[in-house]
Amino acid sequence: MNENVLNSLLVEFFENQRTSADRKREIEYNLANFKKQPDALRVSRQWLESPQTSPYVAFYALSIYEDLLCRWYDASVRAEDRADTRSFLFRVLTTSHQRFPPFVTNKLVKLVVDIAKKEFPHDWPDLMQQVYDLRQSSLMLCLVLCKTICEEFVANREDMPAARKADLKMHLLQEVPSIMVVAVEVLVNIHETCIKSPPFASPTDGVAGGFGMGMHSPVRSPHAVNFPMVGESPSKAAFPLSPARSNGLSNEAIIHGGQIHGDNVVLCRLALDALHSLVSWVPISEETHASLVIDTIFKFAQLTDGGTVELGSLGMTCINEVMSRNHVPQEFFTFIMLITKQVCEMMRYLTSDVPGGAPRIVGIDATYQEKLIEFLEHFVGKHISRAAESVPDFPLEEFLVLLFKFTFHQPSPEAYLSCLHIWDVFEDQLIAKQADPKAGVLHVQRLQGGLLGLSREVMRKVQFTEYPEDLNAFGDDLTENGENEWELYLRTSCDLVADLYPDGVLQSLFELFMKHSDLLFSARGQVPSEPVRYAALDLRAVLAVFGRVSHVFTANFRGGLSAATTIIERLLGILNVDGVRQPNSIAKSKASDAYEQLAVQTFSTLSVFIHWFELYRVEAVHNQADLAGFQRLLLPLINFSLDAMSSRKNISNASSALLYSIASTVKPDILAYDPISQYLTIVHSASISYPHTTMKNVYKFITAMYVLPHTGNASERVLGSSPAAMQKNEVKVPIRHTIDVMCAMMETVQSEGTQPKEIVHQSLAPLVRPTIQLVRVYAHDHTILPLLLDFILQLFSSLRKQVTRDTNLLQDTLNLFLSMLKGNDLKRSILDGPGNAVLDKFILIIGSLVGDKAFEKMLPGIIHFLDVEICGQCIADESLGIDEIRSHFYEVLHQIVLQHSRWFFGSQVARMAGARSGGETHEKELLGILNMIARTFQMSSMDVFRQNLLTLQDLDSKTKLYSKDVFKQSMLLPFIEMLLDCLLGKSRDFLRDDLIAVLGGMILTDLALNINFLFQLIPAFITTRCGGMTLEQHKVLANYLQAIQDSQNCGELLNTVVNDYGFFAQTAGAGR
Amino acid sequence: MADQIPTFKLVLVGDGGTGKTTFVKRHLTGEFEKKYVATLGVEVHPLQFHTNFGAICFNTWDTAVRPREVRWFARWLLGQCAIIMFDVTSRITYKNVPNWHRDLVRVCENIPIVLTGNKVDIKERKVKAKNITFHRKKNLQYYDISAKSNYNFEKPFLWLARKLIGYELDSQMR
Repeated sequence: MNENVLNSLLVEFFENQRTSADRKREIEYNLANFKKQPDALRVSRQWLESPQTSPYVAFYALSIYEDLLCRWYDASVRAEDRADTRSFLFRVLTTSHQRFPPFVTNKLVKLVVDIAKKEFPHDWPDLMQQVYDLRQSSLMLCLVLCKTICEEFVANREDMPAARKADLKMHLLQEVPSIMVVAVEVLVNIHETCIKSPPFASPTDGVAGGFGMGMHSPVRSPHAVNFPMVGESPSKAAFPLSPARSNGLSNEAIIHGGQIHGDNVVLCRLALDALHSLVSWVPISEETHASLVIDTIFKFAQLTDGGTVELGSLGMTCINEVMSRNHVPQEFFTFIMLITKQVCEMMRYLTSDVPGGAPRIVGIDATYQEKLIEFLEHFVGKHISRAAESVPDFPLEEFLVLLFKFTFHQPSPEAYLSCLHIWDVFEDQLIAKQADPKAGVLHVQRLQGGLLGLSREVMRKVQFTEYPEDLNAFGDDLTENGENEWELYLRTSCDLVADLYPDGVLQSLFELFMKHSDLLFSARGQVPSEPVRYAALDLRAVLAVFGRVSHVFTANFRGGLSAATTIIERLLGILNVDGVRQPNSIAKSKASDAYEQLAVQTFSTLSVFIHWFELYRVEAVHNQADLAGFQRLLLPLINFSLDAMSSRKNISNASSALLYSIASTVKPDILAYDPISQYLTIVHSASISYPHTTMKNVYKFITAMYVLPHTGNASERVLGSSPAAMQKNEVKVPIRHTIDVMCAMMETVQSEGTQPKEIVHQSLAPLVRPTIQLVRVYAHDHTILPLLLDFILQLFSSLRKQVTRDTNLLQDTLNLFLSMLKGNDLKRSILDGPGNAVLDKFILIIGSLVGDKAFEKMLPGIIHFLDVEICGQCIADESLGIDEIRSHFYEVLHQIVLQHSRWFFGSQVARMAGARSGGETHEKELLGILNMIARTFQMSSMDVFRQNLLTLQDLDSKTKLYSKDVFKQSMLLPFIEMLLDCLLGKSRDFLRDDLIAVLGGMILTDLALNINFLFQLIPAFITTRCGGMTLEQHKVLANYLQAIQDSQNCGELLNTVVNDYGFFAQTAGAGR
Repeated sequence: MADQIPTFKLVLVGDGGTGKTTFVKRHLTGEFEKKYVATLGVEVHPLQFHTNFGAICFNTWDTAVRPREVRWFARWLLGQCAIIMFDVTSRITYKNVPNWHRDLVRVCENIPIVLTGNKVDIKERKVKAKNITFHRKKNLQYYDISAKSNYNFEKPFLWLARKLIGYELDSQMR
């Protein structure tokens, strides 16, 4: 193929929009074939040497060399050919890189570095010197090579054996000081020329600052930096950090102004990138010139002006890499404090106003701001507590004042929320230090005033009356929690305020509460104006925080009774304002929506106060005055909640949830209230039109009211009368409604004690069998059948003990399902639709019964049925698209083994007591289940694969599955083989962590035996997959496997085996 | 008419099994594929979106990740934007993100890139949100996504659209 033909093919492939997929495949095929020609390398060399070669052709030529690299140390490549190729490529790079576009140069650099990864230092000892020497001829190329070496020598790629990776990292570490010096030299020179002594300094450019925070004041220093010689050992180098400068940072002022242009930008970017990849892992020590490096990086990290801020951001990114470390040696902690001091100067500068204008931060680059915020987050999260404990006179309060100012000057909501997150982290530090006598200045009591100020300001920022434009600008995008932007903003703010200092914030909250509610009350009878709408929205925020601090009133009931009563009365007052409970009564407008939000929030806040109500009710039993006070609050609460049932969906959901909370938690003698008895007479007819959640809440409320015991003497009366009362009219309402009602009743008592369950069971007992019978009648009804199945599931979940007393019922129900699911009809039925639901509910019902002792008798039959009929017919058939059902199915198998382990394995206690065996075991059934699990490791469904890996892990940790004789004799080796196959074949590499955990656990059950098995397996794998590997490579893998001793090193060594196996297989494949 | 829609080449990269093909198919057909069948070679799909700026088309190059498949020639050449995908339930796929990023930017310098953590619908999340920091270091946009639940499904494309059309408008104004 000549160069022109090749070029036209490549242009056709990449640039011609009309090239079809088939034609592209054809071109790819031709290009791949050409590489296999014996003279491909010779031709590609000519292309690379020719100055006329097009970039595409050069790119392709380099890819031919990449293939050579795969078999670099193969017997077919002679040592002199390797040396020749290496020097040829390095020469092309150094002499011709300027004629190539960046994508070709980068590929060439990567190729050279990949060769270095194989040859340095043994076959290419002067690599680094050759790179450093490039500083004279092409500084940029020198930096590109340094950067790529720093990145690739420690990259997490599977292109080398693990031993070589460790070796290479060590060699790189020895070069780190020299590379750092190259990068620092470039940065300092450019900084000196363009920033410190800009050629055309503007008269307005100046030195920012004023004075520091009391630690050191930044002043300009005349010291110049002397560089150690590149390539010299750091101990020999004339390193400038004398003890006199042991505090590290040069005390230079923050400089603004100056510009960096053109190539200098690229050079700085490359140097900072190289440093960035090093500071993330090299030890922070004088050996690596860390002080000099961080000092230099920080010079750049302070560049915030338009022309230099990109480099400022890069500098800050490097600094953050240091700040994010958890372990910083003491000598560098001083350094961190100095950097922090400088950053505080930055904050001071950015929060100060441009003369006659806004704070500087308003115009600053958003990326830079993010980095600065990240810095503060690292400082507060990782270093502030050490500073408070060990730095004498650490000016914590000054720092916080500055952070406060910085927070509230943020121009965007995102940046502001990120700052709130820093305060959140600070709050965690305060909580952690609460009981620590060494906390020093980091103590809530000492910071009270500031914390209250912060809460007040955060609350102001969520007030529409204060920031209408900002708050109206929020969009409707939903976050992962299903909140919109405004709700996220509100929740983050409220969380901070409520957790910061709950006792302290009440007073200021109360003031806001009174102010906004007064305005709302004053508008009674009028169409809500804009200020009233804002007051409603702001009240919503205040109420959200009140809900969060309700525990203060519960913790000190008597002391806070008067204040809490006032709050609840006001909340009831809010619900009594025209249009709040029923926003549809005012014209549809923004105001009616604000009222809706307020009503929902008010009911929710009252729900959070439910434990306070509960305490009040307990007190009221013994105290007449309390009883009167309690009833004065409870009556209107019930009235308003009942009234709101006919309101908008969100309101009725919230008010019905509150009623349910009252009945289930406060438990007053609610039947004594007239409005309730009146409501009961209409509830069935009224609830038909309710939204589904409201309707269920209402029936849960009524059930709880009847069946849960409450204080006073009325309980027996209620219990005695309830079943009859419950049954009124039920048969007259439509089936659907009845089933929903019955489900709600059962749901109410699901986690209650025996007595309430008995009552509900008595009430429903006559309806249970007729309802189950309906399954046959509606077997093909897509709407009623799922409801009936839900009913049965709910029945066995909530009332298992009551229902299984009637063994016939259980047997009949199971038989009903078995007959519906048996035979070939099931598959057809699944494809048609309803079979899916029947199968799924059957599996879920088995799941709900699985813990029952009575169920054990049926286990052999059930397991056989699951294996033959369900798994054999449907679960194993991936074409059916029943992934969710399959997941439920395997969860049931998991639970069967877990909850009946003694049935499967016999009793451990009996064995320990001297019995020869632990009683009867059921190996056949266990193997049946394990075989069903094993089948999934050959399926393409990822979820079930993952699920069953976790199942095996769980079964082993809880039942010691892998150590059981039955498992060791029949399943261990097949499982090891299957999992190793997945692991080494990388068919599921994204599940590697889980695979290694399971495989490791199995291997460790009998180390000697299993390792021996692995030794036989690996060569067999290699032979079938990639045509063999050398004896030496096999030995390397064997050594790793032999080194496995315990769970500590097993995971790491298996990872190494995967890495090296992958590399050996790849080279073996390339050599073929 | 179709010719007038701004069209960009998007390269979609990330470890095998992270859900790249499923993500593309979800956009194309609305179906969610649970099976894992490794992609061979390259598949190019035109994905069209409607934005505030009008319609935009991404010719999305979904490429194989097996080393032998990908090494012989880079399909990323001339990529104008990219999505790097990892799987939040698999640490190794996140550990490999820097490799994908480096390989990408060496071929396509200065293109807008979105990092996406897929499968956030799965309960056993292994890469926690607070540990996802790579995008901060390299100034990429990040989104948690779920091809299964459609969570943040269109966000990566819309962000890229904003960047690309923004650049175009900028360059037209210059």
